[in-house]
Amino acid sequence: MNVLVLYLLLLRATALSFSGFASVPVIREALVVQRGVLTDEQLNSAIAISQASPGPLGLYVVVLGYFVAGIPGALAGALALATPAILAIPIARAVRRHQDSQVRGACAAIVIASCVLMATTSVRLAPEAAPSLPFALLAGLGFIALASGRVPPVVVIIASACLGPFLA
Amino acid sequence: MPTSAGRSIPLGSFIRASSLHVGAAAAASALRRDLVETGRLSSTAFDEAYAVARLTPGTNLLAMYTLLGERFAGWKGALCALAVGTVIPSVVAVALGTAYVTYAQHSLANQAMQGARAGALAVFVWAIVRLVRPQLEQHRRRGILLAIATLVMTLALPIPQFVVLLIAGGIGAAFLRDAP
Repeated sequence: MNVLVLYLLLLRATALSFSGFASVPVIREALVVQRGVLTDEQLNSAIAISQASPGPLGLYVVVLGYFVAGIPGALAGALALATPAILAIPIARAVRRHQDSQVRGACAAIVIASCVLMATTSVRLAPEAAPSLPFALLAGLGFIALASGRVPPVVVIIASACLGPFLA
Repeated sequence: MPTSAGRSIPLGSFIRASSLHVGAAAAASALRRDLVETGRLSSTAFDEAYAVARLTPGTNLLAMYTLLGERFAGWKGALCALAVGTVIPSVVAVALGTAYVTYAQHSLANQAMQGARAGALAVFVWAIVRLVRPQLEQHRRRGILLAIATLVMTLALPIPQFVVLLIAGGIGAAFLRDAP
């Protein structure tokens, strides 16, 4: 597949979504349904990998690009992921021009609301992430380890990966 | 609040956040610890970057990196932070993608991935706690009411998350503006 076309298709999906996985339906339609350059299994795999990789959850776009067109495809995916972020600067400067207590209050409220949205997302993801009691306990132990302040997140994930085969 | 162009870019913080943390919540919480709690950036500036990033199309985390980098060194800082936030995770993801394809049929790899997903869920939930705690410390009662209202909107109304955030922003502008 032409890498430029791949970039534009991925960019269309990332630029029209407002969270990591919100672009999945658009990408599936473009690459799996319409062009057949990707399978649903590859799409699910890319999503799983992005959940285990550091960085944004939307990183699955880079993995998809790699599956479709190797390294050039991965570069197209990375650029498609990064391009919309440039828009944040003019938006932020407009916000700063009107910096006052109302804007600060709005920002604080958005942080609170987004945490609630993330919490609801975590509830939806939980059955797949912890499909059985042992894995749920593993997640719980991971949370306790993080709350102790002594264990970094990457250690929790690596340790959980090592324990996975014993719990399956 | 004006930008602080000309300050050194905390590349180490961006490198650590983009290479050690899964998802926006965990990375944001790590950046807050590195930048705000050490005094390099004000809490207000961080919250603004986080909030605007949530309203920007595309990946929230990369938008936040861009805005935080811009705070330190204008466009140069923005592009450096965005490059770090994109390149490092992309290299890791492609490496993992290659390994996953190679060992996809191996049951041990699948079981390890399942364990990793359980760990990632713990990291995600803890990051939410770290992000919301400073806000609730500052706006305890109204913050909790806002959280409940957001939950009701999300569960009971068929409106996109982006609209929920806009509504929350409007509520915050009206009721959270008198914070100390």
